[in-house]
Amino acid sequence: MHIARELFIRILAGAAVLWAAASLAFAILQLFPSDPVQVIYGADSSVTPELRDAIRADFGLDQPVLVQYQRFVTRIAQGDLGISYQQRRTVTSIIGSEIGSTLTLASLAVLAAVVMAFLASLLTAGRKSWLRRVLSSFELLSVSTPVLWVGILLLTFFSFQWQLFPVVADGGWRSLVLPVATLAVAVFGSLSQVMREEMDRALEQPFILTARTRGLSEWAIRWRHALGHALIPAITISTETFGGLLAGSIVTEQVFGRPGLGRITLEAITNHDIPVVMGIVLFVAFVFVVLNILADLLYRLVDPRLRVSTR
Amino acid sequence: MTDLAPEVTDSAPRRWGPRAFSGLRRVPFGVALATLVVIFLVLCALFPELIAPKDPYQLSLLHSLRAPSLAFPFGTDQLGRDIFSRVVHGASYSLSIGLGATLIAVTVGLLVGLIAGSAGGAVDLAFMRIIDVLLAFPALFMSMAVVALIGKGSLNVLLAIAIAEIPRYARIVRSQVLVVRQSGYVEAALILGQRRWVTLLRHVLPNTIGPLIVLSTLGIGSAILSSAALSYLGLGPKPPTPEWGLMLAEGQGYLRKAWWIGVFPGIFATLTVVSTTVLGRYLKALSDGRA
Amino acid sequence: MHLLTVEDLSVSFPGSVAVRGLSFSVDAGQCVAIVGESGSGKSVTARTLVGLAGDNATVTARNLRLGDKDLRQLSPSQWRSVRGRHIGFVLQDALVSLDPLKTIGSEIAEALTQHVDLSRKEARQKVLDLLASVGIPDPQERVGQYAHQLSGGLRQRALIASAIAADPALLIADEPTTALDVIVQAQVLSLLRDMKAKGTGLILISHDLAVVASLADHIIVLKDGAVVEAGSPDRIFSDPQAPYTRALLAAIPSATTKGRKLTADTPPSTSSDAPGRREDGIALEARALIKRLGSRLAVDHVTLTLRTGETLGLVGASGSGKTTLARLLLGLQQPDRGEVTLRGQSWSGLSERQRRPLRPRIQLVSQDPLGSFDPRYRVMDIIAEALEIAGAPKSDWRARAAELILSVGLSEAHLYRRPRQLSGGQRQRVAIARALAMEPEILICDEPVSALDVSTQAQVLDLLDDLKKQFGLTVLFISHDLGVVHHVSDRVMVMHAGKIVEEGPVDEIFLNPRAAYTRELLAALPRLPTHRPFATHESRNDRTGRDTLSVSA
Repeated sequence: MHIARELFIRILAGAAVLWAAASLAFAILQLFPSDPVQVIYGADSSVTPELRDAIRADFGLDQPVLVQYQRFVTRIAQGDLGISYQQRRTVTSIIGSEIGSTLTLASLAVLAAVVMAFLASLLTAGRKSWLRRVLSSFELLSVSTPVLWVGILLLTFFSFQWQLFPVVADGGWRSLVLPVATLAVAVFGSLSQVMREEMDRALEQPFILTARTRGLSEWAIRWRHALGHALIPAITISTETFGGLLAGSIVTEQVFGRPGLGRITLEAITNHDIPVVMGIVLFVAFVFVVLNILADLLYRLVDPRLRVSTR
Repeated sequence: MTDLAPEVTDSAPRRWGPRAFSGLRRVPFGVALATLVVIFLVLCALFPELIAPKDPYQLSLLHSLRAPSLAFPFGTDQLGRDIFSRVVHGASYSLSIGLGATLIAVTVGLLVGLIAGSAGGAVDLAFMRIIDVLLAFPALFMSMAVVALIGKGSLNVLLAIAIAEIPRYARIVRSQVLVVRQSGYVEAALILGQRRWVTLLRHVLPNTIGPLIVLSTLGIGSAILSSAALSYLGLGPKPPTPEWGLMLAEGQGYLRKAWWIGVFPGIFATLTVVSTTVLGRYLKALSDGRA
Repeated sequence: MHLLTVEDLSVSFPGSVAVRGLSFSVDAGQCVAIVGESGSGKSVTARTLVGLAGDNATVTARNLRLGDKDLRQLSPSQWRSVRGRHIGFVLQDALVSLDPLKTIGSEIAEALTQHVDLSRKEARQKVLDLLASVGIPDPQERVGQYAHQLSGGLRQRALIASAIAADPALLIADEPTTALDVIVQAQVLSLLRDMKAKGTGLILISHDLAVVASLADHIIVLKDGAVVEAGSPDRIFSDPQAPYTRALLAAIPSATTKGRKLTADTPPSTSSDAPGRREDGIALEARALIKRLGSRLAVDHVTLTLRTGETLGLVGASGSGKTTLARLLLGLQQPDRGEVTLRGQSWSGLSERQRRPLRPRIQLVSQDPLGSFDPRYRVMDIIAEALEIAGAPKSDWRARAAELILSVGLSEAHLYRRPRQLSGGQRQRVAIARALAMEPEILICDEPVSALDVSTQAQVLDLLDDLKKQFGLTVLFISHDLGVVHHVSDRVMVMHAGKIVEEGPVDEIFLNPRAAYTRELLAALPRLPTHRPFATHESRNDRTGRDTLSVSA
């Protein structure tokens, strides 16, 4: 019941963050107004003032600022992110139709990266081996290499030179391999670095020495004791991972010409389709808030010190 | 109380002399290499003509898509431009965006963080909530949103990257200010009867800025990565500017015939980020007393 | 055959030798104590005996056997079957020595199932039995709890239970009571005594001679990795041979050391009883202080009077509210109720701006001097900042700093060092010099020596005593160590759970404690047999035997 109450508080706080993000977005839009007429008809068209007013009224832009704000917040609270200037569809449906592709790409990449990071830190933490040197160089490269270049390299060699994987997305699993690899490399580097650092630290703790004095094998010590401690920061950086993931998918989708959130974001930005941009901004904030709440719950699962004391 | 780490007392006082320079020999090989790469890149940025005399804008359809050779060390692109020359000239864009954006972000972040951390109370709470909200967005995504508002172009990309990085620095500064403010030495100054603003200037500020400078070295790399990505996505400088991300975007259609178009700009970008990151980490290790 | 035989054991690390030429043996039901200060090699020895000296350690020995097993010949996997099964190991501070993410039940079961084939059910029953056998009440409930949910004493018992789970014949305890309060320490020591009585061989590693005194059958004193003295407790305490052992024994503050120097080599204070500006009266007074921290009353109706020129001792276990009280007296925190007055003038009621000009009169010497120095500063800068605030003209700083640094027993060369380059004792001297730069009336010492080794502690205590006389200081001395408090104080206050349970002249309180808590505290104090600190060679023959003082530490 404690958990339920805290969860409720967390959800309220998350809603507050979303409200703040929405208000911020609204305020910024007031500072940098955009004109739907220009987006729809272009700059040099001869739109009659009547039509212009009608379009503006359509989007509610003829109302006083406070009324606009009130409407804006109300419809967002109802899950309505507005209507695209350009496509004349609801932003929700635009995001809904594209999110599946991004989700597939992102979740496969995260899965691959997490598995690799786990293995890497289990194998190399607390040791001075050649493997560790190789892996940490790889991690350095992976956090320092532009994601887009990794994609282009993979495309150049695996698709064009050796023709192992298709160049364009065809819906089959083979067309997913390279994008997933690209994104996984980007996520793996930072995840693995943090996890190993934390595991190194855990391995120097007295409780590891205690475990050793019980006659535990090196592998058992890593698996049973050190790994749990590496999980905590792995959850902590889940938000950063999420950031890297989203940024990474925008680029990856562009490199491999895949549909998805990245493509619509880029289109909306190039076309000044502000309702779509703001819709995506709010959607991203929403996912972030949900992930944070999940991370908080996971923390409790992993670390008993964060649970409500039962003493 | 562990016997394994005997206390270091270092009885000989340090003097400047020949021995002071023996420290140089202990610099790891990787760090020395990174330093050389950074020096080379700075030379590329400042005097590109010296390193690559060919004109990076010179079209020559006769020589289009030539493989790397003595005449064209990195080959030529679809329009026959010398890729080596373009890559070298591109250094100034990446470095100035990396440095400029980081400088702006650090300065603003320092101000915001200092205000929030020193003021405490409602001011701190308000600042930190806003920063939390901003941190919900990945830097690249936020830069894209900013570009959507203020428009494309080199200078706007620099601003967009800077704005996106501000919340990160502000949060670091603020937490460092809190650590320093609760530290034993600030309390010691209070007990001595030191005035508040003197304590702030003498103890809080220097001990906050130190770690920040080190961290900002690491930030240059991520700013360069963002700028390459933004250019690649078509939000940065316009063609035919020799910007690395843009070169990759322009050349992507010719990868089947010419692998080198996609390889060399990326190598330069990666080298730049790897070297600044290696240097930044070394500085961080030095300041933590680990190296 | 001995349980454990060690002959000529040496351990070295690249560039340093940690242990050289150590020999001893342990029999069943016997306790060997290895005593030494930090850097003496005692912990390295303990780790070497379970094969965990580290990858970069070189271990050599003429003989190293456990029963008939030659430990020098063991492969890593053979070592694993020895650790836990034949040799149990207990570290200090179970909060960090037990995995915080595991229940104590699973920690103990892990030690058990590693060596013994048991079903889940059998293992659980055995774990419950073990918890009961180390004196943990309600094993059924405790077995599912985590280290952070247990008190320090229960935690340490659980750690011991995990070490003896597979019933090893030999138990190595490395500072097993260092993190514990006196009363809990006594309980844990008594648990170890029970195990010894049941036939377990015990190697007890400690920095504290008093802790091992009652348990050890054989004591080895280590210094810089070499044995300086070894023998029975009777012999070592009554007739120490090595100068180091004698100095060590003499350095332990207690009732018997009152009024005399703890270190032999420091000349007696030249300016003894030269009154700086002694005047009668009350220097600092606190009335009915209350301070709530979270849901807990950290300071609960404390009334305190600090008379000019006296040393008032404040003794209490960790968490008793001593430090919070010190912070209230220093004006670092404001009391919820009650008032602190300085020379009859308002102090706690002032605004920080009003208090600032008065601050130099009350200075602090804390447990962590390093943390109280700006990491960018050299010693000179640290003292100069104080001199600046004290109003000394800039031209005098260098001379004054030199004077101050000499008065705390350091040399002028130390002014140009960074605190990181100094040893713990030297850092504490710098902190004292900084406090003196303010020419304070009152010095609040909050656990000033608890992070230091016995011999360094003795030097710092002697220094504080000298300075007190030289400058006519009034001192509030806060410590958890009854011996130290007894040594330095004129009057003493005993603090427990935020309240002052007893106060009065130090000898009276320690000889005739009235409050139940004080009695419990004194009863739990590990006793050191009397020793003759500066025994001359003539007197060495007439042995005084082993009469125990009622109060000592």
